[in-house]
Amino acid sequence: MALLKLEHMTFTYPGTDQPALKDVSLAVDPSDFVVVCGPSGCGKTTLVRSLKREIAPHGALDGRLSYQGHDMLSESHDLCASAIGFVMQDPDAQIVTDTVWHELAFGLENMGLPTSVIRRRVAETAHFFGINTWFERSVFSLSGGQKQVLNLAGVMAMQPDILILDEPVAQLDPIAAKEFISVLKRIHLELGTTVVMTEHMLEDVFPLADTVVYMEQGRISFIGSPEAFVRSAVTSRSHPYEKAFPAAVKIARDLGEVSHIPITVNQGRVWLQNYQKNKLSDQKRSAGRQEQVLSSHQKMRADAPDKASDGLEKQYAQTNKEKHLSADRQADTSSVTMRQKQSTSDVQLPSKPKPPGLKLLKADSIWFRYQPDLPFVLQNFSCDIIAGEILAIVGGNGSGKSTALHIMSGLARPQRGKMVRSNLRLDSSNPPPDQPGRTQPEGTAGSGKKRIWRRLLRKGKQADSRPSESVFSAMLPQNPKALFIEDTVYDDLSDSLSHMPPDAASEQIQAIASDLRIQHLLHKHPYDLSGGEQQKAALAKLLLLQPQVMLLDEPTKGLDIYAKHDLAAILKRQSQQGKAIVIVTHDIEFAAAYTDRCAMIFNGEITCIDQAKAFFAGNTFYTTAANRMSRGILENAVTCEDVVSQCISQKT
Amino acid sequence: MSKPTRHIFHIYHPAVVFSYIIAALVFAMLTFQPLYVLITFICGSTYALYLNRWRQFRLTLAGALLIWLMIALLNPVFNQSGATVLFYAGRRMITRESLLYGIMSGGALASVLIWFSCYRQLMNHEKFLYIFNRVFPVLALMLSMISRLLPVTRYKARQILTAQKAMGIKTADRRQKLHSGIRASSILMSWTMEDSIETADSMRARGYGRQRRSTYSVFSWSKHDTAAAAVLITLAAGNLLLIIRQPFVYFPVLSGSLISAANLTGYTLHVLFLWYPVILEMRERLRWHY
Repeated sequence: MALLKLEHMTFTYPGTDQPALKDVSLAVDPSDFVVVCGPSGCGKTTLVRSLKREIAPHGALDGRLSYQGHDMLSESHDLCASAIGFVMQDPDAQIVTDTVWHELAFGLENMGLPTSVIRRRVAETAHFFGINTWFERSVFSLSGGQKQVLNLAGVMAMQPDILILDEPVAQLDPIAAKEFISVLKRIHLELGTTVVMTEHMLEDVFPLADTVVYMEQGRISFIGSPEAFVRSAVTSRSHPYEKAFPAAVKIARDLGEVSHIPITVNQGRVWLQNYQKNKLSDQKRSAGRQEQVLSSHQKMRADAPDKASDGLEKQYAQTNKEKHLSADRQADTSSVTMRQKQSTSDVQLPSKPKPPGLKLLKADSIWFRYQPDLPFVLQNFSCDIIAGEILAIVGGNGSGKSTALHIMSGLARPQRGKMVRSNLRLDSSNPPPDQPGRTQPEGTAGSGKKRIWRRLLRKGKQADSRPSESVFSAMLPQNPKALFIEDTVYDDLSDSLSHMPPDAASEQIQAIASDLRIQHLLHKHPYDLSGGEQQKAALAKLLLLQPQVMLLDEPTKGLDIYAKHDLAAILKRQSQQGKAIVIVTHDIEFAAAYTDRCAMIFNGEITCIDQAKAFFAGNTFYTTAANRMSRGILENAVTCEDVVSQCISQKT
Repeated sequence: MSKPTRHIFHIYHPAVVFSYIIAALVFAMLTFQPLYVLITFICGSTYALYLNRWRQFRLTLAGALLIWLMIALLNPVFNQSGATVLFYAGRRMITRESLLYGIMSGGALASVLIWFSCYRQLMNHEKFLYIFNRVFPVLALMLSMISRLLPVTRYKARQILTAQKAMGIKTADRRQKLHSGIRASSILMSWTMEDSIETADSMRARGYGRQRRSTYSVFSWSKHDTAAAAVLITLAAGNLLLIIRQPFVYFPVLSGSLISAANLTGYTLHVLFLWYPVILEMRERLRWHY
């Protein structure tokens, strides 16, 4: 019997006509691992929240929802409070109390359990999650990853039958995200807990999933195993969600595979090796036919790999046991030759023909620490910021990435070394005229209190002797929420242009908004936007200031692949207009696909800086999935497109 | 947050530690009998010196001595009672009783200060909350939530200020500083409220408000707590009895014995009580060495 059953559920938010969920039916079996995916706005969050009645969204609900045969919509659901655990996205806001142990005990206290029981459960849970070493710490001193593990542990201490997670790793850096997923895997495998989660990083969760639920516009359009999902997705010519697929799926799909789609990097390697072998034998065969002078001995040799590869497909199907072995064996044979090639190819890498742009900002052996008795965060940090280029700075937590950005923006002064700014303006196109005394655009006046504040702010602006030309550099903070001050996006944006007459300002805002495709959001409250939309609105605010150097701190955090793609397109356009863009990020795939240069920062120092492609081709661990998949098989293929184009060009 | 502490009293149950410190503070104020005052001060100082080390202790000591001196000097000026006039300062008479009373009450207050510095070391935030928890369970959860909220909000405020500054909003004069302050607090408010919605969701999702809560604590009562409680209660009760039985009066004339059999017993009990933690520490050290 299904543990949790949804029958023909339709849900409409108040004040909207379109239902957010349309006739959704879903049965979750005991010990299932269900991944709910789909483009943002498809209703996946609404769906999983509806399963947890305590926090279910308000609105018109139709259909049946039952837990172990009990109707959850009508009955009082005392049972479900502890039987269904829920973990949300934001690691910080979910924490209620101030210490780790208290947070673990919070749910148990709510259940009214006696101290002796709580003590036992807390101890067990802390042990299982490896929390014992930081058990007595204050929650404020934890890292984001630790906080999210704590949230998970706090829910698991209540011993739920079903664990529901709503994009639990969206706010974490990739390493913390992988750790969290592995904890989730342990829960599922070792405790047999049923898991339902929404996630857009399919690469990490597909290997765990038993069932994939794919949603589109409030409907479930696919339910089945991950293998079946990728197969169905691959056969359709252009799948609306194709960008989010794991790298291995994308590559195999673009190379025309239809039956055995690899999902993990490991499976992808096996698949790619087979593909290359097949191709070689095909070529040999066709070459042989053309010449028609092959001796029987040679013919046998040419056919042999073909037969072997037929067998290999079967071998691929039984992925679990021999996968590693066979992959290793195959890698051995090909990698010897590849290694020889690689050593020479390092030099030949196609460097971009782009002429070196103007150096806008130069960090010259900078040393920085926050307090005299603390260690140096930046140690001999040197870096050039060049106009018309997107530079990504990657590195681990606490390596000094964000600090470097603060130094570049001039927020902090280095103790040693210099930041040299070039004050040459590159684009003097329409500098905004300096006109104080703008009037409030009609219809945007907020509440009374807001209006007073706004007037105060405006007064301040009038006295403001902000130069008419644009600012030199502007920084986008990690959390765009730190930027928004007004009730609507429009007001917020016009705040950046308070020195302009409202007409001109409005014109500029509309231009930027259409550029970033956020016109439809202009009259919404900034906090009502999704993560990606917030990021765009914040970016619009930044762009209105027309900075020459844009500094972005983790701009892809919490964005799905489509929002990332949009962001990249915007940044690309800006850089083509001569702006220098510096991105501090954990997101390797983003850096590899969309930036010009990459720098790795380690221990406060830039350890290597290179063209993005060369940078990742030279790394072994810290590189993209496509590169890890093709290492030793293809040369310097960093993105999925590289792999595909190399495979195809070799063919012809 | 609990730092690793090197004193053994740390492992005792918060109820024991808390009651002990409160009792010590009460004893410090209970009698101004000179030898008691001296004993309280010396015992408190040795323990504070042990807990805080000299670097920190010297500041406390300096403060305590300053207060002692001030009260000792001021009391005879303002307090005109007492029968034995020593001399006249202007039109005010300085009496022997009031002078002595000033010295002793100053000593008592200095002791209170010193014992407070011990309190700070022995009772961290969590232990205090635990005690509080027992008395007001609902308030305690609130306190715990607030003490999470404070650093989080401070962190957010810093992020906001940095973000605004990095956008090129300059704070050159005082007026602009005020405006940027208003701006920042406005963002901070909406952000905090936004997050608190999710916190509330998280609380409800974990069954908050469904039924009567129980309260859990990491502290458990051990045998040594019973032992310590028994010893300390006996010592304190005996001491209290003797202090009440042997009143020491300053006004109008000094009366009361300083050295009698009862007094000596009282002193012994007092020293034993106030040095109880020090004795524990010594026992701990001996255990390691022999």
